[in-house]
This record gives sequence, C-alpha cells and structure tokens, in this order.
Amino acid sequence: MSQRRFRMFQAFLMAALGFFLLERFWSGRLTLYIHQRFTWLILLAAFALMALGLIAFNNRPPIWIHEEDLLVPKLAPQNAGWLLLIFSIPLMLGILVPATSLGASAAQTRGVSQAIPLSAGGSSPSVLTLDPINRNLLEWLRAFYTAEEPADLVGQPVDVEGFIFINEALPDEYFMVGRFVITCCVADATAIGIAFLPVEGTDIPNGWVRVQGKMTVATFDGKTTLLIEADQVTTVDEPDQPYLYP
Amino acid sequence: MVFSQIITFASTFTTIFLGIFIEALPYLILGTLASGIVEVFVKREALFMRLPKNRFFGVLMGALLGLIFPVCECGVVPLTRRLYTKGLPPAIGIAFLLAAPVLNPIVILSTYTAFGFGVIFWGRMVISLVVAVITGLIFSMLPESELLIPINEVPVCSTHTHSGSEKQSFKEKILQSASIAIEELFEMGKYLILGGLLAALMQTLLPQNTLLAMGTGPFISILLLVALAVLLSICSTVDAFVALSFAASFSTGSILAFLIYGPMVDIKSIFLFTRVFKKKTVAYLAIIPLFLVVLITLFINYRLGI
Repeated sequence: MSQRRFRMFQAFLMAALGFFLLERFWSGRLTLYIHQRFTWLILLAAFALMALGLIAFNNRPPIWIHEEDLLVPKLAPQNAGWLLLIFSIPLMLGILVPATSLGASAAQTRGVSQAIPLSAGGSSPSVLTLDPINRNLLEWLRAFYTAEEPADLVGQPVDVEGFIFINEALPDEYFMVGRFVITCCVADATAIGIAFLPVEGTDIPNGWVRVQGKMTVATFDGKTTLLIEADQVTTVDEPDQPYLYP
Repeated sequence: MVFSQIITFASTFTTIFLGIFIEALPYLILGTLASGIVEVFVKREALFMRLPKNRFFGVLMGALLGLIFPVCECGVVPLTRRLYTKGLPPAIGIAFLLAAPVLNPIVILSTYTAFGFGVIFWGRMVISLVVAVITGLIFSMLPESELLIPINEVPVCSTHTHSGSEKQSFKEKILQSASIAIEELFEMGKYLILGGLLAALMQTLLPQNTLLAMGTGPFISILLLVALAVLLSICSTVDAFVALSFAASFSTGSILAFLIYGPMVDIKSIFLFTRVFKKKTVAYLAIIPLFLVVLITLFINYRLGI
C-alpha cells in the first residue's frame, strides 16, 4: 500500500468514526453505551476525530514525490492493512450489529445483583419521602434497604417499568421485572429486579412491561425481599432511556 | 433457537465492547494529542535537566507527574512512550505509568465525589503512590535495553517537513504534532480495540455475579475484586463510582485493591503495554504491583478487622 493511500484511508476512518459517534448522539442511542453525563466528552472526541481526519487528508503525500524528498516514504508501514482493518472493527460492529440495550437475556447471564448501587455523593437518600407511585425499580430497592421497618412499605401502590425475566430460584408463578443500572458505561452494568406475582391467569409477555399493583414483602429461602402483587401487567415500548443511573 | 441465541450474544457483546471503546476513546485521543505536543514542543535536553539525579527522588517525581499531566490509563501509555524517546529513564516512566491514572486531578476529584475524604480516598492515593514508587525502584535496577522495545520513528506526513526543518512556524509545529497524534491513535487504538474485544468477550461469557457471589472473606474478596477490575477494564476516571456499588457488600481492603490495581493493570492496558515494553517486563509490570496491592490491602483488612 502506498503511503498516500494509507493516509487517505486513515483520514476516512477517523472522519467516519467521528460521524458514527455524532449519529449515535443524534439518534439518542449514545446512552445505550455510556452514562449520559459523558455525552459532552464523546462529542468532543467526535469533533477531534473529524478534525484529525481533515488534517490527515489535507496533508496526504502528493501523487508524485520528488526523488530528493526522502522524508516522506513512498510505502506505508508493513502492518498498515492490519491497522486499518482493526481500526474499522468498532465501526463495522456498530453498523452491522443492531444497537440494543442490555435486556432480559443479558440479565439472565449476568445475574441479578443483591447489592444496590448507592447514589454518588452519598447524600441521605430521599427515596422514602418520594411518592411511592413515582418510584422506579432502583428507588424501591433503595427505599427497602434504607427503611427502618421494611413493613412500612407494605401496601403502598406500585407503578414501575422494566423488562421481564425469570429467576430460577423462585417458584414458577413468580416473575421478575428488572432494569440495568449503569454508573459509567455498559461494561459496569448491573441488573436489579423485583419479583412480582401476577393475578392468576394473566398472560405474561416478553420484553418491556409496566407493572402496577401493591408492594408487599415475602421471604424466599430465608431472605426477606420486596414482592409486587401485580394487578396489571401491560406491554410497553422500551423507554428512551433503558438504563437507570444511581 | 440457536440462531436467536447467537443474535442475542452478538448484540450484548457489541454493546459492551462499544461501551468500553467509546468511553475510553476521548481519553486515548487526549493522550495521543499530548504525546504529539510533547514530541514537537519539549526539547530533549530541557527534560533531562529537570530530572533529579537521585534514584528515589526521580521515581517519586515520576509517580507524581500525573498531577501535571492529567491522563488515565489509556492516555498514559502513548505519553510515556513518547517521553522515553525524549530520554526519560525507564524506572521513572514506570512509576508515572502506574501512578498517573490515580494521582491526577480528575481521578482525585471523582474519588472524593464517590467516597469523600476517608479511608478509601487516602488509602487509594497513598497506596498507589507507594506501589508505583516501589515498582519503579525495582525496575531501576535493570538496564534499559532489557525493558523497552525500540521505538521505530514514525515518518511525518506533513508535506512541509522538508522545508527548513530548524525554523518551523507555529502552524507547522501544530500540524506536525497532529500527524504524530494520528500515528499514535492508530497504533494505540489497535491495542485498545483488541483489549476491549477481549474484555467484552469475557464479560459476555463470565457473569459478574458468579464472580461476586464467590465470597466476601478478607482474602477472597480482594482476589475477586482485583479479578473484576482487570476484567471490567473501565477507565480510572470513573471506576470510583463503580466501586461504590460494591462498597456495601465488600471489605474495605478489597474496594481499595479494586481502585488501586484496576487503574494500573487491566486487560486493555496490558495490550497497550506490549507496545512499549518487552514481554517479560509486561509480565513483571502486572505481577509486582499485584503482589504489593494484595499484601497491603490484606494487611488493611486484618487491621480493620473486617
């Protein structure tokens, strides 16, 4: 490969990667991969990549290199092909594999965490004063762990969204509704979930649901956990922001 | 059935890989840009003159250099490699490499935000410094030729290089550092991508919870969180927030081990190291800090009686 062609490929790849990041931002899919507070950093990286791509393109070696100009080698480094191929992997994966959030199947393989991510800053959780109907899954679990008497939560109305998954440890009639919690990027995603007991005969769909009912507590294997007595389980679209942030 | 499983596996794998890659990318770019600027604007002699002659103070200074160059573990490798070409002694570079991902303003701030001033905060800072200095001192006894792989000077793509190499205009210098940054970005990016692929594969195959469920004893918990830190390969600028989620169920020593060893060595940084050091050095670079970190945090666990 000639040095000129190598530079042009490099310029193209960098610009394409920059555009890819911008596209993910525009389409709102950037937060499938990272916590939203890093968005500005990724945008900065996208612009830097495009600027570097432009610089590389503008400074590509000319087609004709003067004999005396030995500072610009005619040939690209030997591993140039490999470099370009490896550098295009993130782009190819990003374009070819449909972008999905981590969901039920990932929760199944990764397992569900018992430890609840604490809020950054460690300020006293106000989850207990939150109107129960507005609590999300994470806030329910936090309320459960911070409440002096978990029994206080019993009877409160519940309205949460999450994906359905099965916990093998529970009896057959119980299901789990879960969400992934991420603190920085999906590499640290932890699944959390609360068991629910649907009204007998309810058809439980796959995927994202809204579970409405009453909160109660139950003991499985000697451990007390939250349990939702679900009056209604309805299919919903995956939320724009599928992950929860501690 | 099998087909849909493959699809699910591929999409989970891709999401995790892109998560690691996208999150690390800005820091890698920052590191390569810094490297380009150092190459063009820092004179070899100027750097040499400021280095302490004493071995201990040299290594200590290397470990504290991160306070001026705020880089995480992805950015620190290209920068260190560049400083080596400017004549930085290997031991000082190693102390910089190990300590800078923690002892820099961004990480100090994020650790404080997550944990406040307490055992975890001071433990992380002090033990990182101690481990980096000890490891640096150990390496300072070996000759340079045994540690580093020779760097092949990359040709500069600017068409202006042939015209008057002594008196470059500021614009030409900026262009030249950008060219160097591009070279570095591709070379180092390759290792970030390969390391990220491996880390994502491990994460997709090996559930984190199986690992965490293995035990919380004073010794086991340290080994587990060290293993997790290596597997997760998350950036040191954000790992404090991740550690926070284990803080409730794991020993103080193990949280410290996660926060100290993770920034020094993880899957993606090992791949990056192989660009700078010989294989044997990379192995020692992973093992010596591991030994020190486990030893110190184990002592902390027993002292705190957890």
